Amino acid sequence: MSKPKIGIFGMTGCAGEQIVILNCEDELMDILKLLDIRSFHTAMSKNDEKCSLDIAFVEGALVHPEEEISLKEIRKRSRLLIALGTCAVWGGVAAMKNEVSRQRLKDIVYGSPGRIFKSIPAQPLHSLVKVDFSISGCPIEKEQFLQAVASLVHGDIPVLPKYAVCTECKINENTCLLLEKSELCLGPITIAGCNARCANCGIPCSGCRGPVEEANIASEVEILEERGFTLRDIYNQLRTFAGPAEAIQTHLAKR
Amino acid sequence: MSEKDIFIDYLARVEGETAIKINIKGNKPQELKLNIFEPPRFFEGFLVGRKYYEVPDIVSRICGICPVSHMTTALRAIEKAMGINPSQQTRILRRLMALSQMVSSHLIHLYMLAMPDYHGYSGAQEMLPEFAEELSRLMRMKKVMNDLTAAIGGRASHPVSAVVNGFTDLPSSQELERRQRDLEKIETDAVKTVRMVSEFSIPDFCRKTEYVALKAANRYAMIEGNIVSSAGLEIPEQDYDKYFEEQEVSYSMAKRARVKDRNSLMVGALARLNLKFDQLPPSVKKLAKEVGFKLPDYNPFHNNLAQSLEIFYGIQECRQILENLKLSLENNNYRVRAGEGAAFSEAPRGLLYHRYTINARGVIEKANIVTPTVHNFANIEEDLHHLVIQNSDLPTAKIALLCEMLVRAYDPCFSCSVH
Ligand code: SF4
Ligand code: SF4
Repeated sequence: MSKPKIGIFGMTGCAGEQIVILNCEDELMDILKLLDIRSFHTAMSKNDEKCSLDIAFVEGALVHPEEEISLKEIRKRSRLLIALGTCAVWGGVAAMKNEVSRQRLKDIVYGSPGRIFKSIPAQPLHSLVKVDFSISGCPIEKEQFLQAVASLVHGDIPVLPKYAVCTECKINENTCLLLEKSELCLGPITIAGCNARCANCGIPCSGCRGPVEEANIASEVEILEERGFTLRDIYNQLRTFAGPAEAIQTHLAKR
Repeated sequence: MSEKDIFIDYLARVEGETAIKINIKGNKPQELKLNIFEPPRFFEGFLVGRKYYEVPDIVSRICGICPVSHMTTALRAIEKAMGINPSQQTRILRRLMALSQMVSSHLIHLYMLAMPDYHGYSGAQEMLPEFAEELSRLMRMKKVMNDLTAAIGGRASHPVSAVVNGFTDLPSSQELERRQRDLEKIETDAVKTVRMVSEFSIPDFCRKTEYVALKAANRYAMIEGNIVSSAGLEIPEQDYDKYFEEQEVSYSMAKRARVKDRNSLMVGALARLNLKFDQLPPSVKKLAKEVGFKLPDYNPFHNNLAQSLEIFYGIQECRQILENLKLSLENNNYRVRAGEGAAFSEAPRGLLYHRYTINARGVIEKANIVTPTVHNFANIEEDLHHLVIQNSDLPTAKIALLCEMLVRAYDPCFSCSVH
């Protein structure tokens, strides 16, 4: 069997996913032998921008019209397109103020009114192209990435947990930060896979992996309101990592 | 007059997106632009209206390579704004994280981004057959450093347990012992790294500039100190805005920062060594001498060598800190207050600045972030200018490669620079 041809691409993000890939210290040498990496701008020159690919891994959100063009091209030449990281899967931090006009943000950051350049509210990849598989997380967990690569190389679609961070947190027997300490924890509505990383350290989950399927946002908001959080604080936190997610948008539209 | 055009539309083996455009007539560059086209995410805009305690979690997402620096700098700026003095233990843990992150970051840069240039390869995959030993050394070292960052912060990238005035969770003493033992194992690897980098055939190029770094009285400063420069600047961190200015650049999404009314400046490993070499332990000084590192060093390509020496230093320093470290749970209570706070740290790539204005309800009213690459931006362009003049009779492709290598030597982070 010939080696699968791979591309690793970045839209707009922090390159966190690419770093996690490079941080697979025990496995990276084998991965390099197993795969034929054709494009990986952050780590190599002489990238092949045209060849067809078996798998494209794409991190980052879409915040610029040029990125929409390049993502469509990546889609066209790839058999499978995998969204890597919360920015790619849900829009990520770049989308936390999508409701504010780009001009206003430009004025805050660049000061000089009238500075002209293109910018669009941040969107996840699936808003534009078909995504075959998503690995969320800000950043992704390296075990999930490795499992996914192993499955994909064998032609299988990987399996990831479908339950919430809360489940992992309970298995770990942590004190519940939401119910017992009244902290703003998004564990009940956030997709598992990090083994409740934050709650294990006594920090409430800020939802960095995005919403779990059929997340009950209304009930989460109600619990938080009962504990004295303002809607403003709750919505800010809900929008920090996964603002464009349908579940969150639908909820916000109703209020 | 002969004319040459250099256009690198998407520079590879750096973090983020940038293009280099140079037009040379005769032996002079007529037009020279580092066009940083990475689109902005508007972090400063996002932070306005958020609660102070949400800031560290958010700003760590500016960069996947130096999240510890963004987080720690933000925490310190917030603490200064609210008049909080974190404990000695908190400060030591932050220093450990800053050092371990610095070593990991330098390692990735030297072995994966810079080294291929010096052996004519495109990247690690192509290098692997010939350099399997070097690459496994890289992996071994990086794992030890990442494990250390994770032991303290709860995750190697984007730490979770660092909060205002402390940490919510502490590593056990057994865990710390394991980290210490691992560090011991990679000390010879670090020496090999320095020797390896010293054998790169570094282009012969020199241009004196103003070197700027954070300096403290009794240690090689990473997160606390005054801002000092080789041109005699010495100011406390809160005075930054009085002495420095940020300028917009019409062709770039990143701004350029410089000392008011002065030329460009350089921050990062080479600047730190030029300004603080004295404060390094004898073992590092000795190795530096052995590999021919001489002060002051005006060759920006030597930033690579400086990084390798900091790897050696960082590993030793972490080990030393761990040797005497006893941790205990502390009371991290504080009062929320209105105020304005500014803080610096030495990120792996150099000076990083965060400043916040916070109101009495703990809401951010104003945020400003200036990153290392913004500090280096003007200097990179100046260096490119002189490098081109010096090499203008070479074929265009050769000049282009030299320019790429120069930009890479700075280890720029363009995502950070735009943020
Ligand atoms: S999802 Fe998080 S780690 Fe990944 S690119 Fe976005 S900000 Fe970085
Ligand atoms: S606990 Fe929540 S915020 Fe923390 S890593 Fe997991 S999903 Fe992300």
